[in-house]
Amino acid sequence: MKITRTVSVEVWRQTDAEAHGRFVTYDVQGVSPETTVLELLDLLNEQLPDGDSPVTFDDGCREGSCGKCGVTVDGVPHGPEYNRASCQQHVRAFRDGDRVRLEPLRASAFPVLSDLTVDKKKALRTVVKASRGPAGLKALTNAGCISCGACVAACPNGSAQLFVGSLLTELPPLMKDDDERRDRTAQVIETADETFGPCSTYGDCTEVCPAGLPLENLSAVAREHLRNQRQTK
Amino acid sequence: MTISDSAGALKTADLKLAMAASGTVFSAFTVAHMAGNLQVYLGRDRFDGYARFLRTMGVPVLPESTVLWVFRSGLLACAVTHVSCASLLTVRAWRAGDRPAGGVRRSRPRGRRRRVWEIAKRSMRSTGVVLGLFTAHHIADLTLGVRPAATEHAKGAAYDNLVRSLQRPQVAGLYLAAMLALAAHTSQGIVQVGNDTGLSGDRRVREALSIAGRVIGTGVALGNASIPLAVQTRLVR
Repeated sequence: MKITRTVSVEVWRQTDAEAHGRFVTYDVQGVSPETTVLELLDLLNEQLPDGDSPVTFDDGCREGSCGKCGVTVDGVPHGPEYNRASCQQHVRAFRDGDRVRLEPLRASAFPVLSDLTVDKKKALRTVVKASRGPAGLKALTNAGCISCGACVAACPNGSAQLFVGSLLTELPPLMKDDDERRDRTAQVIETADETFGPCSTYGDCTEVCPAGLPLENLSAVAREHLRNQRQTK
Repeated sequence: MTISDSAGALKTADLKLAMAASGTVFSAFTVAHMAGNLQVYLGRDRFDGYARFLRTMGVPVLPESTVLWVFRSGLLACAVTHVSCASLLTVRAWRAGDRPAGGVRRSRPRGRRRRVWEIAKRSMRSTGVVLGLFTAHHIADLTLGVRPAATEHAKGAAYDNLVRSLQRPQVAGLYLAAMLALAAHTSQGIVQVGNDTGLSGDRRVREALSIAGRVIGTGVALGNASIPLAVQTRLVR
């Protein structure tokens, strides 16, 4: 028989992008240690009091590979288990087995749309678009990045350097010549500068990244920037 | 949402490079400064002779203290660069790292940041401020010899000035606290130099810089910290 219990879930409720949000606490029954964060939200929505609108959240493949989901669990983007997407985070890993706080991914670049849903695609896509063409997407795929945005949310500076650095690590081999490489990497760095904060090498990003991207990728930004400087002189 | 500011023309990567360059100069300076400081253990004559050497470098080709002032000007330029770039980057970081609306505090991840180095690496601003304030006191005390930072200050008597200053427990305490800040700041600073210059793209280089930061940071801090301790325990007097 499956052992289940009641977990007190403090969840961020926000009706729309303009509204002020607040935390509301609900007791969710029938939770097991194997329940994932998204399953916990499913249970919560099933048990909501009459009249309460369902808690909205980003949902995807639930296999940890699409990068669509993402909530902040007890202050940690995705959740307490290292390098796993929210859909792969289990109740057994919560700091306190009886109580958990769920809020959206927090970053200036990711406006909250409602409850736990954020618009992360727009800001991340702007950077990929700056690399003009499908090469940016291919570079991210080659790097293993699933564009979940947790690195930005984990960074106290709101930096996307792990995302941008991973893109820039894999972009050069896809460029047809040096001029294209110089042009596109400069565009990517400039665009990222406008939206995201500076990197302080805290490494919080690599703790949450479901793809397990390495810290070394951060340096690609400086490397390409310096390379571009040298060539323009 | 854009985080651009009035200094938007200055690219973050360039500000980082300027901080890396000035920070590297400071790191090298702290090593050289410690090597000079440690001569206090060789006695009054040797230490005062070293102080005289610093003032008379380049003499007779150049007037006295010329080379010293070149070094001082360079360090001052580095300090201005380091602090102004840090301020700009801090503003950008604060703008991009969201503070939730409605007065709700951003909840902090717990159970992940317990190690000393983990705390040190996210304390660059506070340790930087401590180091800046300490340096101001240090210059007022031992270079300018002005009250209330200094007590009795005799020009040219570097050894006596140093010992008299560090005999005051509160100054020795301040010195030790500043050395803790120096160890923390240098250890993470060197890691950031690697990241901001692109050197850390190689895992081995990144790991080597991480170790180098800790060794240099704690080494310089311990070397310097031994002096107030030696004065307080009257090994140096």
